[in-house]
Amino acid sequence: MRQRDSLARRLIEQAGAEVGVDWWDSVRRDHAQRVADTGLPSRRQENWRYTSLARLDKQELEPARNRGHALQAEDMAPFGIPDWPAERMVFINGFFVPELSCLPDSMDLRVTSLRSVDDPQLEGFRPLLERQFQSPESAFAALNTAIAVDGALIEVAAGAQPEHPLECIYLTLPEEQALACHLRNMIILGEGARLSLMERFVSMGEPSYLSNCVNQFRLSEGARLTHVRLQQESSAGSLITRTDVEQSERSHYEYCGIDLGGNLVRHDINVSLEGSDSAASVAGLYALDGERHVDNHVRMDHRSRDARSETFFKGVMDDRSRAVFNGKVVVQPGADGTDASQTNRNLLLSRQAEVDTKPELEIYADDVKCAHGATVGQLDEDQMFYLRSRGISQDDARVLLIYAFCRQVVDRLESESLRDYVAGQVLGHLPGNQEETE
Amino acid sequence: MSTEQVEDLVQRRYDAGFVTDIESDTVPPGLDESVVRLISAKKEEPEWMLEWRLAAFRRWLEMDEPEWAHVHYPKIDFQDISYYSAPKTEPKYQSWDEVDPKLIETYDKLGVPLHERAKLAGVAVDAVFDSVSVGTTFRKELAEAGVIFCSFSEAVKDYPELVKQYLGSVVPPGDNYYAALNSAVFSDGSFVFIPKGVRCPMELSTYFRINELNTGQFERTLIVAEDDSYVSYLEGCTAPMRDENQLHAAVVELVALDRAQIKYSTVQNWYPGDEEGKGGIYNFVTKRGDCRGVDSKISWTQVETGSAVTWKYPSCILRGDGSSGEFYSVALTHNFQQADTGTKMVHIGRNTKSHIISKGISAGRGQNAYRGLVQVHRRADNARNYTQCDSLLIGDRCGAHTFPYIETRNPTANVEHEASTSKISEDQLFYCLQRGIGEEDAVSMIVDGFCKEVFRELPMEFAVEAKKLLEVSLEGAVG
Amino acid sequence: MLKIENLHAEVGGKEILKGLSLEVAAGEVAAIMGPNGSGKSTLANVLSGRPGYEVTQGRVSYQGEDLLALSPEERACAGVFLAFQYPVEIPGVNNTYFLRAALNAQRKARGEDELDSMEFLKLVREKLKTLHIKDDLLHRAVNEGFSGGEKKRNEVFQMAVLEPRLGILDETDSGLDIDALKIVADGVNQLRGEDRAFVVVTHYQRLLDYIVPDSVHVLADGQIVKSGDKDLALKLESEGYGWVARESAA
Repeated sequence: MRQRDSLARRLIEQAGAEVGVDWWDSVRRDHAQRVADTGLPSRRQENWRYTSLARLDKQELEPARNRGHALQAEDMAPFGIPDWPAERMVFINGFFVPELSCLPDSMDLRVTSLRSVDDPQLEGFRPLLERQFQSPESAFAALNTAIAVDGALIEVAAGAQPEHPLECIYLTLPEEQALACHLRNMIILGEGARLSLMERFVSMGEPSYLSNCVNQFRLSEGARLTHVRLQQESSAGSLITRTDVEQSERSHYEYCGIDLGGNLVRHDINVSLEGSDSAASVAGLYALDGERHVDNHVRMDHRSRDARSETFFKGVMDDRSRAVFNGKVVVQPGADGTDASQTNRNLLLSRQAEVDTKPELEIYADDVKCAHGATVGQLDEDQMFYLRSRGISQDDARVLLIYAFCRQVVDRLESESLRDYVAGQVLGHLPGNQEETE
Repeated sequence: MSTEQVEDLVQRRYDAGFVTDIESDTVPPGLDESVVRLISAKKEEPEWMLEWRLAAFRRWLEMDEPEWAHVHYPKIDFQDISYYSAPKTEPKYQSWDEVDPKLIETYDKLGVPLHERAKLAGVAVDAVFDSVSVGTTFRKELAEAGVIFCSFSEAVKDYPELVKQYLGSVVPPGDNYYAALNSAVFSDGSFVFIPKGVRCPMELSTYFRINELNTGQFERTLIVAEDDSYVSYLEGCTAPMRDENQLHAAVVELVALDRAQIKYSTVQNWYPGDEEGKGGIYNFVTKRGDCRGVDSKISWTQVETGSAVTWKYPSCILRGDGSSGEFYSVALTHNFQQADTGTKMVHIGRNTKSHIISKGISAGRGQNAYRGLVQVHRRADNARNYTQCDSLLIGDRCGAHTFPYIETRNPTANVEHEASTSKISEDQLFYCLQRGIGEEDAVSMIVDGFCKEVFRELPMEFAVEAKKLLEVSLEGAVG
Repeated sequence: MLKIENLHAEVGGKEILKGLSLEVAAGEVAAIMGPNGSGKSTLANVLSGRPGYEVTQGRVSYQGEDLLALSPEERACAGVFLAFQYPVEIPGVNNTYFLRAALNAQRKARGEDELDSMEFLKLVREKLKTLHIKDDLLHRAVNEGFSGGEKKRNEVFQMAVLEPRLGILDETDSGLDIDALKIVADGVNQLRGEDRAFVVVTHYQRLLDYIVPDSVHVLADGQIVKSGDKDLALKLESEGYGWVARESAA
């Protein structure tokens, strides 16, 4: 505990310098104090009961600095997705790298970085930056507010529908010291605007680091945000992220997250359905091997009438990996007409693997349709036999069934090229199948 | 029919809310070591029992009151509670003729006749009034079968070796805050011992009654079923209507050895408080069964309609290979009642099975939470769990919550959890009305249907009582 | 081709087959009939190697080889095909992908070249056409959300593509309307030939109007109690199974 609290304090001290915008510096100082007071979360907090931060203790982290890099455009080629044109923002070790990025040039889609944004435009994001993170359980978000100086700032004008998706690549390169990177991404969609966002967490080599990112998405009336996240962090890299989504009337948020890598990974997704008739669908897949620990927390907060939400997570755990899922649907008083479903299905493949799942409902209105289900099990014996009876070997049948299990999440991706790419990444990563693609 | 009309139909009537005017020996409020010593002395306990209590008390002093449950109530002042109260005419009566007629009358009014000629057919009853047992029926018949069924105080005196062997072996004194408190100050309760190979010839039952003002009731029940034995045990509880909240912190321990089966049923109807949420019992109970033997089985069935605040998780430790645990629950919260209840199924042995059916009904401003843990340990090969928990909401000011915890560390385990939330729909009600069924009947029919899977687990006499209780509790909840 | 001798098999510790013997020659279609619970489906499952079906005694030789020593996939690769009574749904696995994986696994085992997706697609389209099955079948997941009839058609379609040497049909006719029944029968009849054999397990004679058997065997209480030609099936249809049981008891 003590060591970890000092970690937060040390990071804040070392990150030091002020940003020179009064209100921003003030909110940074407040949050720095808050983190110093509460410390980082511990397992005694209900939201962290299955995820220990002990792994961070071994990392000897220091704050990332913008030291530049030696990468050429062609070095980014391995991360390309065939037949999938996109605008691209590249971040290396927590800092935006314009020369490797390819930004749109349009008033419909304004993309910039937090570090280079001009004051008038920053003002538009001020309510998001000033968001108070008070509870000890959100200490990482508070730490992010205290430290982060870079990230993606995106505004889509009312009614605009950019032709191409926007891809954010967060790349970590090995450094002498394990780095702590803090990114703050903020997206505002105007009325009826649309955006397709792809986030990718990748590394070169096997660097050790901690990334602590906060996403804040604001969806105006009738806006639609599609959010894909492909997490392929280094096996020595830890990633703590929080995604807060505020939805106005008739807006749609669609999330599909794939966790394949990382050492310690935690993602909190908080969707606030503030406008009536809004809808959110949050789907995730975690396919884990080695000693990975991946924890997804999804909170669906129904605050208005007739909103719909779906939470759908599936996971496969092999070796000594451990997965944690916590879904929570809250239906506030008066949020009648709510239709919420929540599903979590798990396949445990190894005797040393573990899964802890907690699908919760908290309901304060009576005209609601809420259902949830969670399962932990193995591959279906009848399906196995059916495949074998057609001549498919036991090993192949196993991979096929695990892959099919995963496909149900991947198939939610709309773009065919993206779907094929992600499916390929998943297949290459599946237990018992790694040699085929590597 | 509108929700308001449904609500109007609920005007709660609490039949058991009367007070028995009987002279009592009640210790003054407050808790320290001397109170623990006093209770032990009053019960003429041996030294080891006192030491056990004192150790628990010292543990309790170091513990914090739990706050994680989804319930809200003003902080309890543990110095403002009296920890011991007994009818003056004690000690233990030699025959039912010596029992104060007022006590017999009390139980008569509650529908639990104690005197010999009107005894409940086929059910042996231990009646606990405030802190002491006032008598146990059918003792002779049970003794002939080799079954021990007596008050806890008697067990400490008559069967000290059995008590020493099993007391605290399932719920250790330091298990949780209220269990520690209970271990320090428990007053009475029931003790059941079913020897090897015996199928208990009748249902056993304890009827708990809180009467005295400002007292807490801390009873302790211990049931031990030896190899190849079977017992079905029922428990009922009521209390007078008072504006003050009263604390009930019981501990129940069950031990099932090889192939033994214990079926434990509760109909809990403590005073729930009035329509404004004033008064009522705080029901903070630790119930746990240890399936210690191979192929043993423990089954909990509960119908919880009473209490202002309930905090209770009857659990099964599935230690023996092939053992199984069951939990069937109906919990109803109305007016300002709050319940945080559920179960823990801990799969330790191989081929263990557990089955959970939970039905929560919320009406008025009631808050009803299911909290359950299913834990599969590394060596629990082929563990199987199925959980279904359904919530029914009546009215738009109540709450229904589900907090399941599933922890799995074995790849051969199958765990399945399903939950749904629904309300009594206007369509359903209209359908009934259109067929000529009255509103109240329609609601109770729908609620009854909702609870059917649990009711059928109750012994016959209790099932009828539970159904009635639910109807009464829901009166005025519907519209 | 198939020779079963004194076969005893248990399911969940209960003996179902109690000394069953049967020979099926290449080119032959053998119908197995019998009342419910006589062991018909157990026989089909034992022959295809379903886990949970334990052979306690007896031998099964298939093309001179010990069939019982093979794993389910080895049997499939050796040409044994089971059309399931209850085809299994496999959500997320595309039917076309599944079938190609199966066919290529079998071709590989036989030392033949694997088919690429174009060749394969050509093949399945031909088969669909000859069986009068709509090609939307190809785009769906294996049996997922299929009606009972669609599942059975899918079984026959798979059989047509995999071209087994020994086809075992486990009550493939149950729950089918007459059109579906004809498709199933067509599938079998098109494959009939000198080097193939079929074991058709059925409860009713109806299917045998369309797949005319060379031999009919009555299974009762885990044994073959009577064998005959197609007329036996007709007699069973009109007089029930009672007389066979009485006759065999006598």
